[in-house]
Amino acid sequence: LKADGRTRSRPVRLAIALALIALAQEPATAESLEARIKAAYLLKLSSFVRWPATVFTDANAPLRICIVGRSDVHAVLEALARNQQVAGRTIAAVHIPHDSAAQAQSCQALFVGRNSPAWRDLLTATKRSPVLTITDRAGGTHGGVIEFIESGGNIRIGVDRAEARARSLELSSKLVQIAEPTGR
Amino acid sequence: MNLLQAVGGRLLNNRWAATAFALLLLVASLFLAWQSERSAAQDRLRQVEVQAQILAGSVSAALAFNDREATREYLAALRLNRAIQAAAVYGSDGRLVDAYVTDGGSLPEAVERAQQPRISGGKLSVAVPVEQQGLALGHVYVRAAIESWTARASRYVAIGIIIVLAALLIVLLGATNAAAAAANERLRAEIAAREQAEAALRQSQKMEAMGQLTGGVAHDFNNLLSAASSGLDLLERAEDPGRRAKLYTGMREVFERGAKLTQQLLAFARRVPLQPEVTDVGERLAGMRNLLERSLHGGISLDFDLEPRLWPVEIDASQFDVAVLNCVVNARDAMEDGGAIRICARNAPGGFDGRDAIEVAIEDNGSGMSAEVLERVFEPFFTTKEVGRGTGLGLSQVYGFAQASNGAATVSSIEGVGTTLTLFLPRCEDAAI
Repeated sequence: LKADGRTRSRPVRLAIALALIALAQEPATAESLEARIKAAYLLKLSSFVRWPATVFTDANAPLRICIVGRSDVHAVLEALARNQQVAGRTIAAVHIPHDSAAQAQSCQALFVGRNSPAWRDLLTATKRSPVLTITDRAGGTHGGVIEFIESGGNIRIGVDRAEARARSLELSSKLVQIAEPTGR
Repeated sequence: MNLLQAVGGRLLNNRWAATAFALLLLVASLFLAWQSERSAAQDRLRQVEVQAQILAGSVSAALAFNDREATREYLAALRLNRAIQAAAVYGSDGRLVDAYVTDGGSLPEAVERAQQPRISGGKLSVAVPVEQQGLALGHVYVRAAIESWTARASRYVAIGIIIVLAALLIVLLGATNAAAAAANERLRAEIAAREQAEAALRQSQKMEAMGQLTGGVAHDFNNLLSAASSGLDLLERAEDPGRRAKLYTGMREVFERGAKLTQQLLAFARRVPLQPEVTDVGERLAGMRNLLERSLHGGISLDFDLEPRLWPVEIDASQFDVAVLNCVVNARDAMEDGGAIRICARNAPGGFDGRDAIEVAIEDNGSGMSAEVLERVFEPFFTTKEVGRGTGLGLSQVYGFAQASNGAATVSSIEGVGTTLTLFLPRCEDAAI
């Protein structure tokens, strides 16, 4: 009987240990799955886009991914982007306020993740600049070069190729292949 | 080419060299097979790695943005290649995203780093990273079957059989050629021995002819010596300078004739091998007149009937002399009671198997020969003469000489009427006489 009790307690202890390990590996605090996926997408998206060389001040300038309205996504991205490089550049995750059109100009990627009174101004302010705008339909924004589209519990990528061309951004054909076309 | 033949000939004449060559051929082909196997394995490794890289390159966006459907399509495309028995895509966290397995084997649970192509358990596996502009997106794992041992061997069977047969053929050729070479060597030795025996026979034939001559020559010499001796006696007594001078001249002539006779005998007895040279037979016969006359006794006349401008022939002149002498001696012996010998020589256009030749006939009106004797007349050691007079080698020498000169000797005879011995000697085409 005693031996029996001991064998029953073993899986329980194992589960606790595994949970502890999982918690320790989790970046930052326990952000939502949705935020983690979107942060990862933002990082990965940057590798499927080519910016004109002129947008970087020098060879060591980081690739700036700016996030508006989603501090949770920013937190995850910051953790994810640590020690990562895209095309030889480090990644800088920058959280900028809603009304900072000037700051938006200096970003290579701009994620407008949540509806706010001035979100359209951000897109307009960067019009014709090589800024990869990313909007999120679930967050109430749209019209970016890239759009996150939630469907059936999955987050898909929408691409507006005309908008990308207007902003002198080169999208990888592999990305275009799996993306849904958006825009006019 | 000659060098090749020489080397090839030596190689094939030596049994061991041929065997060594065959072994070399086998070893070389084994080495080549091993080499080709190795490079084929390398090729296979590279192919599988390239396939994995193609998959990694194409699947990157689908993997990055969780497009399961696209990932599956890329895997399905790879699946068309039967040799690739398993392929899997792993995310950046190392977890399996999608895969297929056709060989019933298992897949690595997680792949977090690239793995060089490696062979284990008859399978070839490789893991390559999925990267986009240096950003790690995950890994791709590909496993392929290695061609089975039997399938590989069957590729070499046909060529292997050919090579083994070729090696066997070389060994066999070497063995037979070695045997043939040994037989050839024996044959050559035999021929040399026979040639030696023939030379000895020729010499003895010559000596016989000389023996026949000796009787007449000794008589002649005696005459010359007594002429010389009486000449000396007369010279001692003579006082008239005119008469002395005459005697001197006479004696000189006697000595010259003696010297000439000796010279002819020496030339006759000399041991020389057959030495064909372009010869004018008419001139030769005319020069022999003295010698021939001396071998006859009184009561036998010797006539010459030589066509002027006889064609040149390529013969051994001294053997020709011996042959004519043998014929004359033979005719003489057939005419105990005297008679006539005629030596005729004429051009015979197309007279010898359709070829130009000269015909030398020695005719006598002696006792002739019976058909039985005629049949065996050219056989060595066949004689009708009593013991001590003939060796039976005379006419066989005539026959041998004619054969050696690419000509022929024939004899025709009517008992009680006479015998004609004819020599055909082919015309020498390229002689400038």
